[in-house]
Amino acid sequence: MKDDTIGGGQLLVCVYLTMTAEMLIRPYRDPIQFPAQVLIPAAGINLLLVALLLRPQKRSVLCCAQRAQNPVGKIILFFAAAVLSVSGGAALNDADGFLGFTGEERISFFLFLPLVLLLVFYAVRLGAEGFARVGGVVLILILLSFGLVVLSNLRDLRLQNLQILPHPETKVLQALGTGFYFSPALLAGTVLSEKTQYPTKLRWSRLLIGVFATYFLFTVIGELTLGSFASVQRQPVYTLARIGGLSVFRRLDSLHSSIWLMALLLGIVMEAAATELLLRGIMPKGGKRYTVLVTVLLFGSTAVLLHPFPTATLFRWITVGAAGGTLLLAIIPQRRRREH
Amino acid sequence: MKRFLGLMAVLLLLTGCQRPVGLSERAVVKMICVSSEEELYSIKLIAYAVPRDEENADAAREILVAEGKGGAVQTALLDAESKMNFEAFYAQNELLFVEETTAAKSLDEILDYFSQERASRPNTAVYAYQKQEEEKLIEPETAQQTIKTLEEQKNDLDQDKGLTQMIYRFDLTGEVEDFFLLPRITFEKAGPKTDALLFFRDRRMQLCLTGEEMEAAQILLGEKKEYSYLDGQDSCTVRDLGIEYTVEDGQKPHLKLLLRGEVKDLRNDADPKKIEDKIESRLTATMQKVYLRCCVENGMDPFRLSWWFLSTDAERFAPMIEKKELLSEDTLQIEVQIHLAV
Repeated sequence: MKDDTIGGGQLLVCVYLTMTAEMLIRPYRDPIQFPAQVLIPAAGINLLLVALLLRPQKRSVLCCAQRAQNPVGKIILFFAAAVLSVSGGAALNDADGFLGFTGEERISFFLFLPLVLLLVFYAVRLGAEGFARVGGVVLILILLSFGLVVLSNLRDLRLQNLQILPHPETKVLQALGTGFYFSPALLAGTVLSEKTQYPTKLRWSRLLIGVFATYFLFTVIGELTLGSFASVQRQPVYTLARIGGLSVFRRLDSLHSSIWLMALLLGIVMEAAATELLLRGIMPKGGKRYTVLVTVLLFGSTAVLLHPFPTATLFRWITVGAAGGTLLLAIIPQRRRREH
Repeated sequence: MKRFLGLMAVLLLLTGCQRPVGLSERAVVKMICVSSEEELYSIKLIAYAVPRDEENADAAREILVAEGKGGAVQTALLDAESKMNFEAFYAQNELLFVEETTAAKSLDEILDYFSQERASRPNTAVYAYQKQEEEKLIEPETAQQTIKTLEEQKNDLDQDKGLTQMIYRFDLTGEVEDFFLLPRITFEKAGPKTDALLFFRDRRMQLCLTGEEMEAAQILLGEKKEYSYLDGQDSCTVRDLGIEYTVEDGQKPHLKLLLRGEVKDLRNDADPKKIEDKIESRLTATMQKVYLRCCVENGMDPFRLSWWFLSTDAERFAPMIEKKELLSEDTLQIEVQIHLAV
C-alpha cells in the first residue's frame, strides 16, 4: 500500500457519503415510527452528543503507530478494528439486501460478496488518496440524486400529512439514536484523519451540519409526501424515489439506487482502509505486509457470520461500539501520556 | 495493467446475463383486478405481450388476461402468473382495481400486501369497481382504453382528474384515519369515469357519495379544481378553485372555510351576479351536506379538518379529536366566493 496523504475535505466528504448512505439504505432496520416533530429535535440532541464525542479530536490526534506503543493502546486499536469489521460486515449485508430489493433478479450473496471484497481489496491497496478522490465524484452524483428526489415529489407534498402531537417532548427521548446517530464512519474518519496534513483542524462541525441538513430535508419531505405511510417503510427515502413522478422520468429509482450503492461501497472501502491502518499497529512486524488481505478476510468473515442475523439490535451495538471506540482512541492514550 | 484487466474480466460476471428474459417472453402487467369468492381471492392480471406465433418487430401487442385463485393475495397472484405462459413484469403496472364488496371485507389486507411487495410500486393507483362491471373491465378494448385514460389522468398534472388514491396515500397504521376512501370507476363508451366515492370502515361500506356530493367532496379533498354548474338553461364551469382555512378559537371553536373560484365560460346573455349567487349557495349547501354526512354522522375526517385545529393548539384539541367531539354540526362555517373571470 502506498504511503499517501489525503485532504481533510476529501476525508469528510467520504464520511458524509457513508453516513448518508446509512441513512438511505436500511433494508434490515425497523421502520422509524416517530413523526418529524419528534425526530428532528431528537436528531438535534444526537448532533450535540456526537459533536461532544468528536471534541477531543480537536485537541490532538495520535497516529496508530504511536498508540500501539503500549498494551492499552494496542487493545484499543484491536477494539476499534473489531467494531469497524463488524460494521463493514453489516454494511456488506445491507448492500446485498438493497441490491436484492431494488433489482428484479437477486444474485447470490456468495457471488456478490467475493466480488465486492475484491473491489475493497483493490481500493485499499490503491491507497486512501484513490478512494478519497472518488468521493468527490460520488458526492456530485448523490447531490444530483437528492435534488431529483425532492423535485420529483414536490407536487405530492401535503401540509396536512405533518403529524402534530400535543406533547412531542415526551417522545423525543425515546427517539434519541434513531435515524441520526454515531456512525462507525465517524470512527473510521477519526482513524484516517492521521493521513491528513492537519488532523486537528478537520471541520467535523461542518460535516455534522451537512448530515443533519440531509436528515432534516428527507424527514420533512418524507412526512409531507408519505404521511403515516412513512412509518411502515423501512427505507422511506427509497419509497420517495420510487414515487417521484417527474414528467417523462417516472422510473428514476434504478438511477438513484445505483448512486446510493456507490456511496455505500465507498463507505465500506473507507472503513476497510481504517481497519487496515489499525491492524498495522497491532500486527507483528512480519505480518504487516498482509494487513490488507487480513482486513478483507475479516470483513468477509463478519459479513458471512452476520448474514443470517441482520437485526436492528446489531446496528445499535455497532453504534455504541463506534462511539466507545472513538472516545477511547481520543481520550485514553492522552491520559496515559500525561500520567507518564 | 494486468490487475485492471483481471478486475474488468471479473466485472463481466455482473452484467446480469446469467438468465436473460427476452421481451417476447415477458408479459407487461398493466392492471391488476382483485375480487373474492367464498373465502378465496381471485386475481386477474391484464398484461400486454407479443403474440407467440408472430414474434417479430412488427407484431401487434396482445392483451392477455390471466386469472388465479388462492387463500391469500400472494397465492392468487402466483396462480395467475403461472397461467400466463409468460414471465410477468410488474414495473409498468400503475393500476389496481378492487371489487367493492372485496374492498369492504379485506382492503387492508390487499393494500398491506401490495405496499410490502417489492415488485409493486407504492404509487399504484387504487380504484373500486362493481362486480357486474368486471366482464366489461377485462374486455380487451375497454381494458386498453381504461389503462390509457387512467394512466394519463394519474400522471398528467394539468388534468382536473378528481381523486386518485395511490397505495402510499392510505393510512395502513389506522392512527390518523380509521377508514379507507376509494374512488369507484364505471366503464362507459367514452371511457372510464369515477361515479362514486366509497368509504370503508370496520369491514363494511360506511358511506357512498355520488353526483354533486361526490364533486363537492373532491373539492374539499383538494383534488378537484373545477366545478361544472348546470341548472336548466344556465350552465358554466367554475375554475381555479382554492380553499383557505382559518380556525376561530372562541368559546366554541370553529373552522372557517373560504372557497374561491372563477366563472370562465358564461353565456353572454346570462346575469353574472345571479349565476354567481346560485353557484355560491349550491356549493355551500352541498359542501355542508358532505361535511355533515362524513364528519358528523359517520365520525370520519377525510378532509383532515381536525389538522387545522391541531396546528393552532394541539394540547387543547387533541383530546377532543380523539373522543370525536370536535367536529359537530356547527364546527364548519363555509363561505363560497365566486367571481366572473375578467
